[in-house]
Amino acid sequence: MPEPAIPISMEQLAADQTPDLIRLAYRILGSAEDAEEVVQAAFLEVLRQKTFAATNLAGFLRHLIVCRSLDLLRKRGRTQPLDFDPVSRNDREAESIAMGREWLARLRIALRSLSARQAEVFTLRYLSDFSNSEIAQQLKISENAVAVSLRKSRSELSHLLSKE
Amino acid sequence: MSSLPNDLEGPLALAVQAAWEEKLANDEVAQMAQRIRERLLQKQVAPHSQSQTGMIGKRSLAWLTLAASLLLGAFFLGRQTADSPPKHLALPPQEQAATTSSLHGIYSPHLGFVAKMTLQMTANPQSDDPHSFLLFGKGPKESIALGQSFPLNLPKTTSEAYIHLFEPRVSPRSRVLRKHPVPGSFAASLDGRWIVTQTGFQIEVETENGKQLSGDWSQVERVQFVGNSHLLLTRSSQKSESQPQNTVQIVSYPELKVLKEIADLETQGVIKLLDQSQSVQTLFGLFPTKGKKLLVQDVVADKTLAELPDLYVGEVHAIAISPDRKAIAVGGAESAVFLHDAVTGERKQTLLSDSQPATLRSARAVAFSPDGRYLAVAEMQYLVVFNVQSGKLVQRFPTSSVGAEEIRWSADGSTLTTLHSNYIQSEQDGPEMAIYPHVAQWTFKP
Repeated sequence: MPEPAIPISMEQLAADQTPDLIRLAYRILGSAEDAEEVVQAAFLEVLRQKTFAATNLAGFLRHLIVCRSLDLLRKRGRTQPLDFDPVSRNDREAESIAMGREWLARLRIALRSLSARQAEVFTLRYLSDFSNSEIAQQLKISENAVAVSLRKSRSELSHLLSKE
Repeated sequence: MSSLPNDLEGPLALAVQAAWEEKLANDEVAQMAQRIRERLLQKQVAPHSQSQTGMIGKRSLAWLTLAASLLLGAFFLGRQTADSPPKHLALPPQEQAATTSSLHGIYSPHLGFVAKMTLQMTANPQSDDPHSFLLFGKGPKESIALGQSFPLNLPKTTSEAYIHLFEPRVSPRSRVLRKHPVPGSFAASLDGRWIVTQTGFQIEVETENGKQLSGDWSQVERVQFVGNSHLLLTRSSQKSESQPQNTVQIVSYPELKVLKEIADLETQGVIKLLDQSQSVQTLFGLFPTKGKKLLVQDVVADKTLAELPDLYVGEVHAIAISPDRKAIAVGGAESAVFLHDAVTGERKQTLLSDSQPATLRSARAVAFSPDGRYLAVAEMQYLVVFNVQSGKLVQRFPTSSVGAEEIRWSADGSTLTTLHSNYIQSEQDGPEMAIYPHVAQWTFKP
C-alpha cells in the first residue's frame, strides 16, 4: 500500500486555519483557554499521524476539534458558571444578552445528551455554518441523513432546553 | 453566520445566536493562533533548538513537555509490551490502524473511498477454539477484506447494502450474504446463526434463507440480540415535535412474545446491556429515566438493583457487571473508571490510569475477566488492565488512538480480543461508518 507524502507543511496549515478553528472551538466550549488547548491538541494529534489525507486535512482537523470539544463538554460538570458582566449597556439589552447566554450555557450541557454523530452534525450546521450538503460531503453520509439527524437534534435539544 | 437559520426557534435559536455573538476579539485569536503556530513549529522543525525553546513561554514549554512525554511514554510503553505484541487477526497492521484514528468515516488517504461498515463481534459456532469469533459487517455487494481497499460503490441510500461475514481465522476476506440486501441496522445472534434486521427480516446465515417475521416493526430503530433466544427492540416515536417517546421491548425469539416493555425513556439509543452474552434471565440494563437517574435493573424480575448517582446519560460510554454480580464498572467521559456496589449503587473505588493527557483516559469499553479479578478498559489510546481488588494498573497495551469498541476475554483469562473500528456511531443516525476495522488479540500476563 503506497505511503502518501505529507503534502503541505503544518505551519502553512496552521497559519491558514488556526483562527477559524479557534473560533469554532470557542463557540462550542465558551472558554478561550479550552479552545486553545483543543486546537493545539488537534494539531499535535495530526502531527503524530504518520500519514494523513492531503485533500481533506482541514476537514479532518475541524472534525477532530469538534469531536474533542464535544468530549470536553461531556467531561464538564452538569452546570457551568455564567460569568458575564454586561457593563455599559442599558438594562433591556443586558437582560437580552443574559438570557441568550443562559440558553447557550444550557445548550452546551444539552449537547452532551446527543449521540456523538448527532452532536457533530448539529455543531457543524449551526455553530460552524456549513450547509447540509457540505456536512454530508464531509462526513460521507447522505444529505437526507444529515437532515434527519438535524431534525432529531433540534427536537431533542428544544425538549431539553424547555425543561427546568 | 450571516443570519440565523430559519429552522431554529425559541430558546434553541437564542442559544445559537448567543454562541455567534459571544466572539473572541480578533487580536486575542491572533495571539492564540500565533502561540499554537510557534509550538507546532518547535515540534515540526526544531524540537531541540535551545534558541527557539528560549523564545517560548511557560505555557508553550508545558505543551512541549506534554508532547515529549507523550512520545517518551509511547516509546517506553512500546518497550513494556514488546514481549507480548498484539496478534492482528485482520489487516491493517497496527501502524496503519493508528493513522486512521478518529477519522469518523471521512478518511480516504491512499484509497479514495469510504467504507460503510457496521461491525458486530460474536461467537463462532463452527469452532471449538474459545478465541474464535465471527464479525458481521454491512457493505457493498463485492467481497471485501478488512483493511483492504475497495471502491466505494454504495448507493446513496442503504437499500442495497449487503451483510458481510468475516471469519478472520479462516480468511480476511468476507463472505457476502447476497440474497438479501439489508437496509438499516441488524443484529446477529450470539451463536452467529441468525440475523434479524431493523425491519424484522430474519436470515439464516448458513443457508441465507430469509423470511419476514410477524409483528409490528414500523417504529423499530434498533434491534439487538440477547444471547440466542431474545431480542431487544428500541422503538422511537414522537408524541409531538418536541416530545420523543422511546420504548424498549424485550421479546422472545423467534416467537416475538413481548416479555417486558420499558416505555417513556429519556433518550433513545442509550440502553446498555451489561452482559450481552448472557441469557435474558441475567439481563441487566442501564436505563436513563426522566429523573436523569441511571438505573441498573434486572429487567425480567422487574427489580431495580441499583441507582447510580452523579452520572449523566451522555457521560456513560461503557458499563459492565462483575461475574459475581457484586460490582458494576462504569466508564465514560470522566478520566477514570468507577466501581459501584451492584446492590447499593455506592461508588466503591476509582480506577485511575496514568495515561497522559488525562483526556485520553475516557473509557470506550470495559470488561471484567472471567474470574472477576481484573478489569480491562479501552481508553482512547491504550488498552489497560486493572487489578480490581487493589485498584492498581497491572498491564497496558498501546492501541489505535480511538481505542477499542469491544473487549472480550478468553475463557481462561489469558487473552484479550479487541474490536477497533474508528468511531462507530449510534445506529439512530443511520448506518455506521468505520474505516480499517480490525481485530487484535493481546496476551495478558498479570
